[in-house]
Amino acid sequence: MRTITTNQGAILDGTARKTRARIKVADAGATLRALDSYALGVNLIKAVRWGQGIDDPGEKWSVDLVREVELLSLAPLMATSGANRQFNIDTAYAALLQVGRAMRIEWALNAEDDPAIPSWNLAFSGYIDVVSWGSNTLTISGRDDAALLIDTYIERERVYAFAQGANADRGCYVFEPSQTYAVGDRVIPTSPNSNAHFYRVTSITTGIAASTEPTWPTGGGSTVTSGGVTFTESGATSKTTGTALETVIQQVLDDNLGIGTVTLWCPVSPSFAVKSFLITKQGLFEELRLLADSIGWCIRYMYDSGSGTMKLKLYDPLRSSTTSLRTFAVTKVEAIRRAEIQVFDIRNVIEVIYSDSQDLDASGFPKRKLVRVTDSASVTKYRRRWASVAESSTSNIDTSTEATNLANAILSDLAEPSAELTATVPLFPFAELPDLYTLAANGVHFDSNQKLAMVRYDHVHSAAESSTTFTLRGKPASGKTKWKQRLTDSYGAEQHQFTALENFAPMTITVDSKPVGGARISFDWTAPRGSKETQFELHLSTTIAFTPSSATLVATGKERFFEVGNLDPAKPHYAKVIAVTWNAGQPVRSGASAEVSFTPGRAAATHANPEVYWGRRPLNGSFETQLDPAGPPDFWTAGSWGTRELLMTDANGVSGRNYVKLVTTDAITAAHITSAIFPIAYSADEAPVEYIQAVTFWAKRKAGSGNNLQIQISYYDQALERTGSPTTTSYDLATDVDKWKKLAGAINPPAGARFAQVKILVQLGASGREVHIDSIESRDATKSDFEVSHSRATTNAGASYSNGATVVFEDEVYDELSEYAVGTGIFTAQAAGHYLVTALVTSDELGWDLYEFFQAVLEKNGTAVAYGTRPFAPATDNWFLVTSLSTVVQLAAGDTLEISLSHDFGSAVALYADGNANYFTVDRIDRA
Amino acid sequence: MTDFLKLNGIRVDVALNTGDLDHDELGESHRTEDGTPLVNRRAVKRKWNFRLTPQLAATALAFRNLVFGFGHNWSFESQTFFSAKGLAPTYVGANMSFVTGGHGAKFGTYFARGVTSDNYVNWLAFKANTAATAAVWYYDSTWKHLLLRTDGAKWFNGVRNDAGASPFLVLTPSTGQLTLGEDGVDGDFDDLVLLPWLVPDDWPAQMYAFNTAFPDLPFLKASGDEIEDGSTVDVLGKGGRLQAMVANRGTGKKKAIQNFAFMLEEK
Repeated sequence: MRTITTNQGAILDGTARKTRARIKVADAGATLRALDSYALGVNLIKAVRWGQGIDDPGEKWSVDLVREVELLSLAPLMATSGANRQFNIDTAYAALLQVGRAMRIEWALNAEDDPAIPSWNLAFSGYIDVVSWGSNTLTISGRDDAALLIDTYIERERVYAFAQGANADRGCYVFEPSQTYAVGDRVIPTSPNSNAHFYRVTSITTGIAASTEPTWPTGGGSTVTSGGVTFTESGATSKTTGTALETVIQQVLDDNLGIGTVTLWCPVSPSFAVKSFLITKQGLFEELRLLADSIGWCIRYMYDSGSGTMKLKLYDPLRSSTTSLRTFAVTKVEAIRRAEIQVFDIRNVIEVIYSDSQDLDASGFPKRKLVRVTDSASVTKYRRRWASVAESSTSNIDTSTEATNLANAILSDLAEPSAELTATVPLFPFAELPDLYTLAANGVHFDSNQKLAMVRYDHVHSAAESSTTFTLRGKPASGKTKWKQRLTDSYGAEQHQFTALENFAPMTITVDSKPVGGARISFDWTAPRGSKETQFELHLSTTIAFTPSSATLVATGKERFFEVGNLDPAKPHYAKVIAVTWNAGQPVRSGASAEVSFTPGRAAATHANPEVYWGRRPLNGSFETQLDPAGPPDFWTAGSWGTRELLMTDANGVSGRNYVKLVTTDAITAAHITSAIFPIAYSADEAPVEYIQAVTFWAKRKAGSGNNLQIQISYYDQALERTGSPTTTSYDLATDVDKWKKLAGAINPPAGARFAQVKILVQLGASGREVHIDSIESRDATKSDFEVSHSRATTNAGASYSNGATVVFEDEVYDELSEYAVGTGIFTAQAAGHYLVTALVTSDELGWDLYEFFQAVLEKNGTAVAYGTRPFAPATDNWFLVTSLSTVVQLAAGDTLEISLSHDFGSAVALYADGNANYFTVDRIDRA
Repeated sequence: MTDFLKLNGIRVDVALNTGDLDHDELGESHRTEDGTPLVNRRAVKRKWNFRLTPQLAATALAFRNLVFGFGHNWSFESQTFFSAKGLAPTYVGANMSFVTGGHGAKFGTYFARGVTSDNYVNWLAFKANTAATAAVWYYDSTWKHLLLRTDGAKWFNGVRNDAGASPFLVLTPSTGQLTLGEDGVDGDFDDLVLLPWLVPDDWPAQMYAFNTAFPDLPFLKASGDEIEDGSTVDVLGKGGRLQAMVANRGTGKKKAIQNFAFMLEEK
């Protein structure tokens, strides 16, 4: 209650008084004009009303005014009215009554017949919110100075009570890349707990931080520059030390209104340290009230008699006070308008849930515990009426004793009902919330004095009445209302999620890699109390120990699992989960979960459709799958599917269920289908081996001429760029009408080819050419794989060979794979297989001695593997000796064959100079 | 025969056929469902409606002011120099005090006493440059009554004596100040009254004869035949219409007279 002076007290106690109230409004020049006299001495005030309740943020007021007297008008759009021109015709029009302008309401109290000029006292100051002049009574209304705080929005999130030390004189931003900073801003890293330092912006160029978070130095006073902003280490942070409540409130005011705009008035410190917390985007006054509520104190604009001004005051409502500030005698109460007791607010079983700082779990966090107190007498009378208060994890209620004290305090306030009274008394402008008053026994509503806390007052001053109506209820202070709020609201929790959520990261992550190319990631999460609309973020990376960022965010959801796909099963992946709750419409993130690694699921054999040749290329070469019924078979494209290219499903194919019909519909457009690109094998390192793509397919000519079928193979390099020119092979089916025929083509890839693509087309030229195609297969091959190996060489040189020498057949008759070397007489096989070797060697007519022999020997890789016939000289004479050899040998690619001679002639044996008498043929008869 | 009506001992000439008595009932009085009267009255307060006989305008105005209870009074029973309405003194001498016992108070228990020097009290009790009347009981061997007006008229114990000395009670019209006590001269005082108008000449004797503590203004003490039980009742006056007329005094001169209606409500 405001101080009542002796003189004022005498008047209040006196038999007759004279009260007045008036409003002053700021004009365009910010000069306050009293509306009881400004308009040329005319009192334009009809009625003044103001008041507030314990749950209101401040005074609300309205004033009824006379809209106009003759030509003197207060209507704001009356530009000709003197009131709107400061009664000076030379002054530009500017409405006297304008929303947003400052105002003040004043009151005066005098004894009746006191001739003194009224001495005006400030009721409060505030702002005009509404000007309404539709009727003859012009009404203006608004709120007190708290309107400035109510209408101010906290636009950027800051962390308070976290930074410590001399530089911790304002809230800290959590660093954001590419954010704008000003000199003096306080900033903490995005991992504040592990860093444990805060930083000041000490200089700027562009003022915009870099797009990535800097590495924060931790040395005292050390600096780091991020983009156009230089940060200087300015002290330590602490989650547990805390900062005085009134200091935090002043910091919040300075941060959001400018330093010194509003100075908090805290005559008595609550001696309460707030622990670190995040202030999110919300109304400024709402936030201040939450802070004051955290210890059950009040914050509102109050009159400071010392300065005669209104100040934002943080004060203890003195819950336990039993000192009545004023007694209203029966003779001073105009009416008791309401007297009511109701059961609804009674609570006789109180639970308090709290975090026990003296009993930590295995992870080091306080265990959540519960205390319960009961007033059995109240339960007997009013039935069991239960209530629970859950303190946040950072509440200062963190021991069993404190929790029990709190429970008992609530029980004491709520176990018994108390009357709520509404009393009207002569204007009593000294009232302040929440005064404790005594209403003297009146013998009607109560026969003993009632000491009650005032929870609302409404003043009205007009010609007809000048009175104050109090609503009085129960014990002092916010008592019931506050408790009720605590019981029904998620009190405090979200205000402290900054520290809470760091400790509430998702846990126990398990990964199920069954989904092909993905995973199902499940986790547990214990929600901090009061969190709402929780959702989760899944962050994935292929880098171990990664830092979650927008680049790693792959999914959000509300379920406690994620199913992700499109991952590369060849790489190990790492996952982290972050919980996100919402406060005042803004996300508040938890710390990241522990990292878990997994390999995305691979396709199992059972995933494949057994009706498809999975091992063949191109894929779906027999056209068995067609997911899009309107389109060509899977992995195939067509020129005009459904018109010139059609899928046939009948028993006439050669493979599986389906085959494709190609039919020309005019003379200028070919019908064709083209496969998907498929990989091939090719390497120049294997030269002189010649690589080819060996394509086989089945075709049946149904109509049209026979030489119109072509196969075209295109090659692509490692970058899937086309390389070389497509090569085309044409087929003539002139003699094969309506017969399936297996066709083959072998086409050399260009150097560097890594992929191929097959296109089968029925050439343009006439409509109605129809060919059926089925079972296309392309495979990597070498030319030797594909072609028959034959070589034949002869010699007619008549050269001489000593015993063991290799015969050189210098005349190559044919050598399809260039396997025989005429210079050396050595055959080198290009492919493994069985080879038929025949050789005939004839000596010249020489003088052989009796029993001298002459024999051809087949050497494989230099070692004899077969002997030819061995003729003897039957007598010493001149003889032609002939040796022959015919055998099959098994060779691997690269094995060599040669024919050498074995004889005991004594000197070199000259061969008969005739190619038909000396030859060496090698024929591969099959492949290995 | 007593007078029809007296207010604070001053006879009020009420017109014939006025003085209707009415009642304010506080509480409820109704019939139950079976018709039985059910009475739950907390209080019954009387109120009377009167009309003055036509009076000269000045007299009528004086009665009006009396009925409204304009002015201040100090009984000193609560040992304060604040008036009953709460008017604060502008100066209280250091040697002013409240006393009980001795020769006793004129009315009640306490009276005011000033001794030696700095023994006076000032109030700004009426508008500057307007008329006023002050009255006090002072002790001079016995309690005596003084009434004085700003026009210089004085009555001692109801007897007019404009030349009589009364330095202990001063009205200063230029400032509207009322002073009780003479600096440097001892004095005992009780039941001070300040009326911001000139009382008619016939009132001082009646006020002296009233010899009763002045009720705390704006309440009045009503007595007389109109009070049906013959008691003295504390009432609150409420003014009604003041009707102006012109009367022919029979000498050819005409005089403005007024006819005042008012109501008295039991406290």
